[in-house]
Amino acid sequence: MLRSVFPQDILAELGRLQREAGEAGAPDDPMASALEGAEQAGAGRLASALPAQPALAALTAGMLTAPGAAMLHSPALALAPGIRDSRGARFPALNLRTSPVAIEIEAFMPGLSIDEVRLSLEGDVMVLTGERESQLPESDDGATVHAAERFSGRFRRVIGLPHDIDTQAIEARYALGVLTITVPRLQPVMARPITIQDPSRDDLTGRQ
Amino acid sequence: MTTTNVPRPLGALGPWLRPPVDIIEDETGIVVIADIPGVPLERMALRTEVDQLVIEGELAHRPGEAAASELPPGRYRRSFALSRELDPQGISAAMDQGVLRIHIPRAGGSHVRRIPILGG
Repeated sequence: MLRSVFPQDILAELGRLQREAGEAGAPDDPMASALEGAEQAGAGRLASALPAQPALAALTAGMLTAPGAAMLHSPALALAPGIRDSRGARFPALNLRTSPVAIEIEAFMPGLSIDEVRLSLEGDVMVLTGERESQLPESDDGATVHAAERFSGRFRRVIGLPHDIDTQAIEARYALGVLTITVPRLQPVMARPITIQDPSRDDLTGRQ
Repeated sequence: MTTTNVPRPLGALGPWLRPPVDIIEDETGIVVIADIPGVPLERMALRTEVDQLVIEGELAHRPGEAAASELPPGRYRRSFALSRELDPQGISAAMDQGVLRIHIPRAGGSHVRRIPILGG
């Protein structure tokens, strides 16, 4: 489960990471220069620090050369399989993105039809389930299988959502084999000025 | 499928991503099925280089602060050596919902060749 990536102070934490990334001298950092704009440097490093696949972890590890990169391994931000996520399953791979107005979840699940996918919300826990059929031939088909790497079978991913979400306005769209789920955040009531009354001043004006 | 074939330096778009594949061979040839989600056709490239079949695709990321990323932005890449009895001119491919399916036919007429084993 991805609960741990949404601690209550996630935005504060990301803000801090960005400030520190800025102070660390982003122009010297190959990762940062590859990103569009210095303000994304913190988020970019954060993303590359958290790959789920060991092979990718090995690839990205060498890229974390900037001073301060080690702080990204803080347990508060680690992507760890949760208690409700199924047995270390990594299909579909999930990318999570946050903004002040919404949380966007991308589930990379190619080759499915929408009928085979179920998305449900249980409290503030989102559950994505489905099944992908194998494309491999039956055993007595006269065909030879040289590689069978693609996932097939039932899958289930569980994503913990923060509390300030608008559960009625969740949208999901499937394109290019990616399910994109947009979860809007509840917007705080617009700030409005409150007049402060000062009786003593009223008295003064009354005298004048 | 058209895209630039000039390789970018590693790291310009993040790490290489190795798409999982199924490879099935029957009497008509070989079918390669590859999972390449999130890549529009214009960012895909499929080509043969000498005796290699090369699959490439660029996974661009959407803007926003990444809170968790199991699939980092990068380039999908996978290549396979083709053997001589396969016909590179006859390769066909189609993509649907992030799944690339490539058919590589056998060169005309050449089927399994029995190799005699000499001995006494």
